[in-house]
Amino acid sequence: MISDSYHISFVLKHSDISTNTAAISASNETGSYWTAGKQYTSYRINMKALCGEMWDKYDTFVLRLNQVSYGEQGGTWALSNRDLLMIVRMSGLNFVNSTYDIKSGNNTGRYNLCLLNIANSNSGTINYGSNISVCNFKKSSDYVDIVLECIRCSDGLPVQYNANVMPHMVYSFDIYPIE
Amino acid sequence: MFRNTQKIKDVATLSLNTRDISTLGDVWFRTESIDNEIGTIFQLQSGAVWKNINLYNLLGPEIYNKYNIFRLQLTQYMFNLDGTVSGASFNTNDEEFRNLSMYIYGPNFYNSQYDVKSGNKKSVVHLTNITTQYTITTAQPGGTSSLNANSEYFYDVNETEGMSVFFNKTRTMDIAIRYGPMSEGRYTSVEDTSTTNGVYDFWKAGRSFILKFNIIPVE
Repeated sequence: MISDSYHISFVLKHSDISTNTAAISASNETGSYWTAGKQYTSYRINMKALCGEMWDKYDTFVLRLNQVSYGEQGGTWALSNRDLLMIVRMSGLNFVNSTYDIKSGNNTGRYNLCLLNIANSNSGTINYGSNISVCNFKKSSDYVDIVLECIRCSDGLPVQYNANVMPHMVYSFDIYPIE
Repeated sequence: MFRNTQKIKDVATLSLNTRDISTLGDVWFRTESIDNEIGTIFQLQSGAVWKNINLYNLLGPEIYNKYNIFRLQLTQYMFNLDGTVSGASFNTNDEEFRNLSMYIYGPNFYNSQYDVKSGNKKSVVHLTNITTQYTITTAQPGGTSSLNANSEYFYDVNETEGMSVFFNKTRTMDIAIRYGPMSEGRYTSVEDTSTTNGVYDFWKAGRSFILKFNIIPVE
């Protein structure tokens, strides 16, 4: 049985990298984002510090997405509606599976975290059921670069935004170990 | 919101996107199927097949070797329409074609194929339903404005874990998804190609649809 004491919250937000919502790109010791703002975001994470003793005690973990949220900045940010319909891909963790690519039949290292439809001029919060977005990853190095990449569902190309109005986004996860 | 506190342990995710089969913009207008080594998109957008999904690679050797039965759980699906295509309007008057059932073929199903009418097992499983599309908004899931010619999508976050099927382990498998009018119980919507402003126009304007599944081992 998994104890709730081994259950940690993990939040990735653009404002940890920069609070300037109009910036096309930003980079510092926390991470970076670029391509008209929020299409590609990299976070530098110390997994050992994040997970504490859980990181030393266990080898395999579950990453679960609970919520995605974004605030209104004014104006419309997507260049077209199809830029609002996206796959959010995650890479950087040592995924056990869930990175299978239909075209090649092989694994890619990139996990489709969720399908996301965001409003073009309003704020929004999407709550996910407890097992809607879950994956396994194994312990790797203590320091990882976690990358979130937004691509369009319709053609797999990067989403395109008007950078100065695209809101900062917040991704809320939890992590628990597999015994 | 429904919230199940059960914690999943071993799990894998599978995404099926028609874009992986064809990125042709006019694929949904075609009256013949598109077929290649990746999969098939049926004529007039009535479904698709993704071929030769390698379960061993998908799950990884540890999970594949450890378990024999798995649960395939639909978690998210999204339909993308192309707003540049005229005639993408969705008819709110024709209930038959905006209330669909989604069916799945392909895996070596462990159960769930029972057909109430015949009392026998079939090769297809009713996966979920897609209803009340006329209330879809371009703003966000759960909105209430009407879908119009400029709208782009049909989207859902599945918050129930019941929309799932169990299947036996096979090294590779095809997965097919098809749709049909819920009221008629048909597995396909291609019989009546003359319908306008109904589901056919809706799907015709589609650029792609994508489904996301969990694959969860049964202990």
